[in-house]
Amino acid sequence: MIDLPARTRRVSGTRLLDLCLERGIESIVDPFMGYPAHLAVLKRHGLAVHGGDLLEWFVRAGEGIVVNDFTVLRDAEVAELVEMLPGRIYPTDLFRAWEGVFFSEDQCRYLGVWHANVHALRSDGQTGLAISGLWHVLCHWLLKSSHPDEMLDVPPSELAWHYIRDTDRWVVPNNKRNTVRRADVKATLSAVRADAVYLALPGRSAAKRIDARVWMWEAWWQGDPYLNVERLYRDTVFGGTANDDGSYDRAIAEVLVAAEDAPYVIVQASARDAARFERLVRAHRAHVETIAPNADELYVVGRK
Amino acid sequence: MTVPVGADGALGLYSAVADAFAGRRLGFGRRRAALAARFARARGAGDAATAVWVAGALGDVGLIEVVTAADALARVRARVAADVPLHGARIVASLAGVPAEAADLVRWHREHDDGTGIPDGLRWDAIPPNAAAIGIVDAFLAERDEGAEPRDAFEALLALGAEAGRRFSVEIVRAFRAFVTAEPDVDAPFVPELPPIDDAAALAMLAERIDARDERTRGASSRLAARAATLAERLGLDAPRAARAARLLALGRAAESVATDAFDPLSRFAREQRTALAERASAIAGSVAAFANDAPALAGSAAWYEDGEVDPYAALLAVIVAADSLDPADTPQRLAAAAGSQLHPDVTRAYISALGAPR
Repeated sequence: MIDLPARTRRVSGTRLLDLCLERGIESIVDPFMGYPAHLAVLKRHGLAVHGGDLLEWFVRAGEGIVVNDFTVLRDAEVAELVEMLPGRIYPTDLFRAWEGVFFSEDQCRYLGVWHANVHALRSDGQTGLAISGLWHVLCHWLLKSSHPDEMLDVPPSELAWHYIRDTDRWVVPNNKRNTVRRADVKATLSAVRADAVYLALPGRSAAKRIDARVWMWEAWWQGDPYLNVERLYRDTVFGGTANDDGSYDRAIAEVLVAAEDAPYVIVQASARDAARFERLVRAHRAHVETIAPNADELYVVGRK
Repeated sequence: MTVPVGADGALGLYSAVADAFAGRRLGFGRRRAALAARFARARGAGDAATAVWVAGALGDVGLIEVVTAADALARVRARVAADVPLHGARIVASLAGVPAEAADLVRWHREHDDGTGIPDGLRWDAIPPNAAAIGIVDAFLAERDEGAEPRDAFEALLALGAEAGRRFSVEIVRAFRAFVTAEPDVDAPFVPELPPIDDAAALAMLAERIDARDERTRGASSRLAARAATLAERLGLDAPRAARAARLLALGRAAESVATDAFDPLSRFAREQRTALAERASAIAGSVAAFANDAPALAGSAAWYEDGEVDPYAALLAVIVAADSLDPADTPQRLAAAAGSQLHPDVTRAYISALGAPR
């Protein structure tokens, strides 16, 4: 089994909410959305939110927890999702390639079953909720492979049930138009207008260092265990050419130019990158302030 | 079970109010704070121990800001509850003198390692370890002390282990197990190194927040405190103490739902309602050393004069509370009629001559 460290970047919806409320921001767009829990938090608090990403599963998850105002998965529907249904033919060996590397034989079989069941859903909202819930199952399994004796053994269908049911709480209307799209940063920013653009910018060579869980889940959604997600980023602003300082700066500048219509741009940075981002934002915004609520979080806020 | 020292001022009061709103035994928050702070120190995060203590004590304080209708759907309740840590973080950030990082620990102490927590759905190392540790300590103490059948520490640790990798970080659960094994006295005290906090200002803010939960009580504590001070001066009592006791009365409404039937304020039904509020306020104040002296006055504030000897501050509170809830046009007459039976005659007389029917 491959040991994947449980690491991720902190993207806090409530922190963004505080930044937005202090500035009267009522709508926000995140063109590097990722898993959109932060947009769901902002939506719940009444902001109009828009997101974009190149990976389809992030967008699908966004359709479930961001765009979706009312649709949930009822118990009977979840029950039909998490187990094999009689009379349906399942591609149980679809993810056999991952067996012994990431998952057990049983887990690979369930991944195939869930792939088929989720693709059979007729609603974007329900599909998004199912993808979100099952994403937690994938993460759980991978974590358990690192800590086999310290985590409970939970049957796959029970685990899936638990996590899919939990997604319900994200479904909430806010009487605003909220959108997600599968698009690169420029397409996203040209498609929607918002008071603020939030940028959690990819690091250098981010496409090459994408979290294995993230590409794995895209591969699961696409039904192709050999999927290479790197190619999705090849022709984008940060794809391939942003390895050295100069080209990385140019890539960030391109994004800031694309975000120029928005009254505010909020760039999340680390303390190490703060000076760089502040310098780059200053080149495009008249008023810039740096807010560091704690040692791990830093935001460069540019205003027109 | 003793409440650790170091929690005997306004922060202790906030913590006790949070316990009351959360439906937990008074002192739970302060026990959680002490254990979490000692656990932080054992993990080598001693620099943050005071912030952890504050966050542990005030973890549930955001409940003050949450009001849900008694018949609200479970979904609506869950949605509202998801903001409790955020409200708590804002309250803690507004308290002068507490470490700045405490607010973020409150904000994220309900996050789950698997990303299913509140308010942000953070996961793994995005959750500050000290915040995650407070969540673990909370679950441990709740499992041990607060359930229908309290368990011993070993059983509580087993229950925590069942959530490793889901609600809780595997590594922090492992560290906590080692900590509890090495230091089995989980109720040992911890004294936080906090600068002096203005208890009066903090109490005023707390009472105001509780008042604001209901349109009918908004601003009531400030009004009662001002009248209590005036009346105390008239009676030769300690005015600041009377004002503080008047503000402490708001703590009686520190519960998820409070009966609000509009009985005649001088009726027996209203007295029963007021007694419940007064006893809760008294219990909360009595659990915090700096306010424990006010507890008898609070408890006695709902009693009638004819019931027997009462604390002078209780008699004062009884009069100002009754006057506040009467129709202003009738106040002097109704108070005069109740003097000697329900209300202390001297205090009532002083009130009518000093304040009449102020609005």
